[in-house]
Amino acid sequence: MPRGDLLGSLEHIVLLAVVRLGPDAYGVTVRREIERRTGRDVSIGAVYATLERLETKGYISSLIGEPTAERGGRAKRHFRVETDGVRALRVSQDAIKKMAVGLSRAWGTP
Amino acid sequence: MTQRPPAAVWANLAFRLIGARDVDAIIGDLTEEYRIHRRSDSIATAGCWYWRQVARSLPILATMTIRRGGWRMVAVATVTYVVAQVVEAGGQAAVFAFVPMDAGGRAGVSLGIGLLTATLAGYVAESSRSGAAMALTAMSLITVVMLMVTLPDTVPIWYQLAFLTLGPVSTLGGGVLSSRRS
Repeated sequence: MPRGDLLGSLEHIVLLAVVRLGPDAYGVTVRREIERRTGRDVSIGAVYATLERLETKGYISSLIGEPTAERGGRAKRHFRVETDGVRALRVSQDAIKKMAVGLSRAWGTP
Repeated sequence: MTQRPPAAVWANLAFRLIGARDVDAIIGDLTEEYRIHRRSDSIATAGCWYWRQVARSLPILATMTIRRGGWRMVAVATVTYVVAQVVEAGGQAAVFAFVPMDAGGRAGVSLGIGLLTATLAGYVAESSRSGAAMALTAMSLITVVMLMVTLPDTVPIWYQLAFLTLGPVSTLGGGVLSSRRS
């Protein structure tokens, strides 16, 4: 990851969802995981646009699964986090932690 | 109990028209999640969820298409559209100059020339750039709808409806012909 190239907020959240879900990461599970954990109702288009950006940056890779009847005969695209993706997550998490140090009083957290 | 999202074929077409990537996976995801919603929700509620997802996704995925280099596709479609309009107007003027006919006949001939031009335009656009026939179809649809709303009385309603339905089919048909040939 180039120096200073931090993840965007949705990129960060989507990448974390892909890491959490492991081999079961695809559009539906990623969208629902984000909704379940953050309460944020993201559209499937936003999820795919973000996944495409992450894939272009080399942070994740994808492969097409088998078509299933429950999906109207359409296949899933599975996503997997790559080493560069894990590194990008660490850098972004570190940056946020450093920026948040000492701010707990400012936003009223005990 | 139906498990198919309402009018899903239109969602599929809309995603393809804007040149979205992974259309099959996206439609499959929406279908799968629609079925999850149907376990607890009515058809109307689940259908609303489905179409709200489609409506919110379209502008985002269209932006991705443009970022991906889709602007070239849009440029090809725009140039083809302008040239097709000139060819269509020229063809109509040439026919009407030599063959006298009443208003109904003129509308019928205009429709024929228009649909033929749309097919050729779809073919040429798709030959120049993959996906350009889709963009051209979207442009034509938007133009026809705008004309129907702003100038409803200038041509008969059957003529407007014929262009609204057969126009996109002709343009896409031209695109499909080009894809098959290559």
